[in-house]
Amino acid sequence: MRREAAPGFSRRAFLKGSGAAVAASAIATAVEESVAQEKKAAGVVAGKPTELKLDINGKSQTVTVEPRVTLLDVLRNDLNLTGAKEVCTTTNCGACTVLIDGKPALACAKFAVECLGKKITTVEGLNSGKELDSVVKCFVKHDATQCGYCTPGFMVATKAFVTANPGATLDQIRKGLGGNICRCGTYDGLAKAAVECAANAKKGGK
Amino acid sequence: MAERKFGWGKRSENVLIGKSIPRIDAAVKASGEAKYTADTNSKGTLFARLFSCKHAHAKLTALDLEAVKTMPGVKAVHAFKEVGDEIRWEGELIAAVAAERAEQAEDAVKALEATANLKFSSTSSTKATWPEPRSPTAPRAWVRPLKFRVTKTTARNVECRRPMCSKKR
Repeated sequence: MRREAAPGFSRRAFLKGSGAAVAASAIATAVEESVAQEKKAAGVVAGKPTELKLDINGKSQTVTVEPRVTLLDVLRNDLNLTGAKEVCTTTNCGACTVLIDGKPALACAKFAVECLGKKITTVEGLNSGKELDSVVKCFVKHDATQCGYCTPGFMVATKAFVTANPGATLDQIRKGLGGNICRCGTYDGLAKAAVECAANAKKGGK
Repeated sequence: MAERKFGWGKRSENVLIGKSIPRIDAAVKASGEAKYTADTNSKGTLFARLFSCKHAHAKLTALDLEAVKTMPGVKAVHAFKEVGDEIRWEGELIAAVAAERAEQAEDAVKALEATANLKFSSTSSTKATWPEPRSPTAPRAWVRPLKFRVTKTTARNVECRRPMCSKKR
């Protein structure tokens, strides 16, 4: 699940660093603590449906779900935002990619309760304007869809990647979008579309 | 040979052949608007989870469905097998539960209890082949039921709503 294109950076190298391992566990503990605090603040009890207020696509949405329900299930089943697809549910495929505070994340591996107080943007949110997002236009232009089930995930991932890495090269894009899988094999079109998106992002256009 | 008359127009008059045409559904799919079968959320849709056997060969000796019928959200329980039926392959369905939410159906399947007598099965190609003919008095280990019992078969979630998934959970 590596989306960064920072040259010379790899998760393996990061985890190999002995000091870094300690730092990583410290980060994990900090995350757990903050999640625990948020749960406490929200009055969440295991096994009991709780009312959650989530900020989704700029709108405050209220759902009543158990804390074990994933963000993906809330989006798809409770809010009918079916752009994020449920495919593997094990973080292998990237079809459920959404933006959490602007960063790509896999909705199948996030509990809804973890997203309290965070801004969630789905593929619908990126295309809610009068015009379709420029990434979608590039996808259409370069024929980056076939059955289309992975495409919304790719769209969100591409959007986040080119925004963070304007002017990225093909190699960087291949690495950056490596967390998404297309079983039809439209990678050629997807790569071409992403290269154009990255070039557009560098030009200053959206 | 009679002269053939083809119905093709001139190449320059072609509307489709040799032209680059954008896919008609590309924008709808890429923007997440397209609705697939798994995306339809009609009111009252239930979530199903299946209860399957993890043993390749067994005889079902007990199956209790009543306990889960009253669990929260559970709307229906269906038995594919009755007590006394034989299970002939790993993953053969025993029962299914439908509930209002996926997690409720999962809970119900995990609460289901079945007991089965294990019978002989072999996953080794050498052991699975029929042995040489032997005398009728020789012990025939391959058809004798094993001594031990399973008290609870493990629930496995068999998800039929994941069109692109090759992985079992």
